[in-house]
Amino acid sequence: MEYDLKHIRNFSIIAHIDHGKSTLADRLLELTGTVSKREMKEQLLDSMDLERERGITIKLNAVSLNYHAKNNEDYLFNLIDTPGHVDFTYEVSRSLAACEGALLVVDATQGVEAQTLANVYLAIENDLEVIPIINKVDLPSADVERTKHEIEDNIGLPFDERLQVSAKTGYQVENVLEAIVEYVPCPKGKKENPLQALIFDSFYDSYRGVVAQIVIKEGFLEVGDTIVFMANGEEYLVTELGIRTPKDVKVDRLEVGEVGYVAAQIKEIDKVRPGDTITCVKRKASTPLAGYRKMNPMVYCGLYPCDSNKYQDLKEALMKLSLNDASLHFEPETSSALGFGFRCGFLGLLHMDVIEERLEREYGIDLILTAPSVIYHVYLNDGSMINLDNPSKLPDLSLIKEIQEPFVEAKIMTPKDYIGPIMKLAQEKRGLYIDMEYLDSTRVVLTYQLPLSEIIYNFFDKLKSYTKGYASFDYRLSEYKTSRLVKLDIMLNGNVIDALSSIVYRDFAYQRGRVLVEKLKNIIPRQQFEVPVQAAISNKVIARSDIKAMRKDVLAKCYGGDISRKKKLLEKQKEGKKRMKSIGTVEVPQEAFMAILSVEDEE
Amino acid sequence: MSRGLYIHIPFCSSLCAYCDYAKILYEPNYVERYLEALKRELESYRVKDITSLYIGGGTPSALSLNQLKKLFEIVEPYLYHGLSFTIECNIENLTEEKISLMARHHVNRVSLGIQSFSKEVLVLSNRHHHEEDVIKIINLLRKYGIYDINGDLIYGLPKQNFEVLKEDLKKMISLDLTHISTYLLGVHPHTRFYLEKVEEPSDEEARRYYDYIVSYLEKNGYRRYEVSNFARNSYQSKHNLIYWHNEEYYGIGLGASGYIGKIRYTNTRSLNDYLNGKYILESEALNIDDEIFYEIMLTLRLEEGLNLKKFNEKYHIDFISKYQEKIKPLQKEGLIEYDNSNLRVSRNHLFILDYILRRILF
Repeated sequence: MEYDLKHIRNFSIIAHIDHGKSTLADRLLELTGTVSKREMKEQLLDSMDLERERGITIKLNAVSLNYHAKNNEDYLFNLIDTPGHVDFTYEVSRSLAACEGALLVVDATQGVEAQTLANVYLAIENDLEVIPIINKVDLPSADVERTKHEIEDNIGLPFDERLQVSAKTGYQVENVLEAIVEYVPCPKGKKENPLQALIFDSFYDSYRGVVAQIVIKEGFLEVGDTIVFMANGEEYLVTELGIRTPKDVKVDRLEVGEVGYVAAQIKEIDKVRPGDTITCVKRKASTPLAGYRKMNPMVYCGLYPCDSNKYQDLKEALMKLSLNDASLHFEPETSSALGFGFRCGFLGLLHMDVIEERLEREYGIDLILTAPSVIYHVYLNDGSMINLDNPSKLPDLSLIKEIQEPFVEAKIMTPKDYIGPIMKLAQEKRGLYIDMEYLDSTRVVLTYQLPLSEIIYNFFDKLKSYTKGYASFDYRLSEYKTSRLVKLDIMLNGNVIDALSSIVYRDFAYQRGRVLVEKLKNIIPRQQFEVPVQAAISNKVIARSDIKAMRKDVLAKCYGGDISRKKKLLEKQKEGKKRMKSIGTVEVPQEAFMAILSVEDEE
Repeated sequence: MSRGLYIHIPFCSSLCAYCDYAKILYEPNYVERYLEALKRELESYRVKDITSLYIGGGTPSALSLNQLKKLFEIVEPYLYHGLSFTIECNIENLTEEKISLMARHHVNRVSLGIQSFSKEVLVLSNRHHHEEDVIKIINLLRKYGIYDINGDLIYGLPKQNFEVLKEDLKKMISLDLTHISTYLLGVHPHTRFYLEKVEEPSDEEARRYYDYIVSYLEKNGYRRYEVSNFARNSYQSKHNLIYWHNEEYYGIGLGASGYIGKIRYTNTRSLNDYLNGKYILESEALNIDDEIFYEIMLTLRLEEGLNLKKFNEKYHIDFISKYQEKIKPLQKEGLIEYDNSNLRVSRNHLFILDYILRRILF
């Protein structure tokens, strides 16, 4: 069916994790008959296994819906999904740039959360029409009045009373469809204008090459057109156009306002960058669309294949993943302990986790990850400055004038009962109190300046446990400041293991060193000889613990019945050794490299 | 070539707290039906050329005299002079009549479950014999011409500390047996110790006990020929050597395993299934790599280790050159040693055999 611009609505959904975004999306697909009930799998838009398992959205995704409205007219809705987690703000800004409106879903039992707020402000900055929806009104613990008050008074958005819904039961969800028709502006732009299409995502398909997801902002695009990527001037012949319903449906033409995909037998994955503008030779635009804010990685870690023969596979997998994840950075590095690998930059720990799991599941590569680190600014005596993303590369102390580390401004939203525990936590984490603001009589926003390195060390988990899960937080990079930092080295058998070095706050160094060697002693399995584990600062040993020599590793009894079982046992033991790396003569398991992250739990 | 026949009798007059073999409390009606099923299973194989017969359990000696007679009738067709024939017995239900019966049916080796001599240790493990009875039974066995006797000893049982173990070993020696097996306590599911959350000895303790056992028994004329087995002169267990030499054996009875014609199988542990003729629970068809895996895994348990000539002829590969990359570092670290005839785990490292196996096999 052909639609004119007035009957197209491009929108996304903003929500905190678990507030019901994917369920609402499912319900919209069902109500518009896009997907029949029979075809429904839970949370259709979350197409990665990983997304469904964790119940989170990681990658954005787009789907087209046809809606016959109460005014008896037919509309085309393009829903562009957004991730909810703070790590994926970059993805959110990409999907918002493709839309004119956003549904803001708020859980009536939880109220507005800090991360939601951040995304709402991002939408407002992008000139999007934001439509608040209160979800889960069917639950006994729902507090619609309070939630409404938060939306209207704290965010300052008017609330339409009809939009109190339950995505789970479907209650009042049809009102959401009407609200989209009513409130979301139709796309601007003209069919006659030169082509400007925004790439908001892309993926690689072995038959079709790179497939780019686009929204046509001006003009139109047809199969057979020669397209131009405005960032690099590369030209390709369009072989396929289509829309997702959510199955791919081929079309001959995409017009202004429409959302779809384009394939052009593009084999070089680095030619297609999300945020770039596509135009075409015949109807060439003179300027690209405004791209969007590029996010810089906040944490770095080393990524090494357990099997060093898999280095090339890892490189190709990283290239494919970075195709639709511009925030993923990687460059080759070598470690004397781990061999050849990559130093990779991520937006946060969840992002790192997701990439690791995708590499292992989708590409079958077993990995060793080193502990994540932030980027330090190291000022040398000669006046130069180094961006240090790998603790083991810290120059000799005698050359260093000062080390600066990144600080963030964190906003923590919490019921007021938990102010005490949060202040204690922030203090332990070297936080600097900035401000406290009452949202209403029961909820406050605390603002702290905190070192980013402390946040990546289990801040979020602790915050959740200190507040029984009630607090939420959001942060943005504020500035680099000088800190008293030292490099903590770990020695196994007297040799410094570069992949285990970390940079720590000097006052914490002794304590961390002590706990860390104990922890490593327990994680690293017994070897044939006793192995001393030592922590050192500037070659001075500050803590030591010994891994005892292997004393027993045999099944004492091996008679008839035990024989097949014993083979299985040996094979099971081997599985356990898969993610081990031999460093010199010591076998070190993956957990050892992450030990530093959980050190504080045992202090 | 040797070939074995193992027959399992699951019945016991009481259940030991550590035992995870297929076992059932003695119940006369079930025994009758079980022996019938056993006969049927045995006849379903074309058993031939066996060099060793081993009746284990459970507790074969828990059967009544009449039931034992029936059992011997079942195995009668396979007996011949010169066959190695072992039967496992417990002290408390062995009588002179039963011993005489065994002797008349060519039993030439008896394996006695002794485990410990300490009253306290035995009671905690739910075992019920007395030290004096052990000596009495051994004398009776000899009286009827059964001189090849093994004694089982467990170490690491609750309350069996180092001092108790030393005493147990001393008493074991005084019995002047031909063979001694010593097993480290393992706490397995489906045992009373497991339910009581009894702890296994630490690796340090286990190693300390083991090293003492090896040196003490060797000082007293027993040679360790397998990780846990010690023998005088040539009295090694012919039956168990079949297992460790990766040779074939039939396994008959509840929970028994066999290895015949490149198939390894394990029988059901469900008495009902067994009585209804559903004998085999699972089986594994071996390809050449599996056979090699088992051959290495089993032969390295032996002091003599893997016989290179035999191996090379059997599998048409040169062991040393095929496994060179794995063997060299192990040799350098002193974990294994080899000459022209055999490759073996170094004396002091048999107790970390599995570690060495993983490095060779994977």
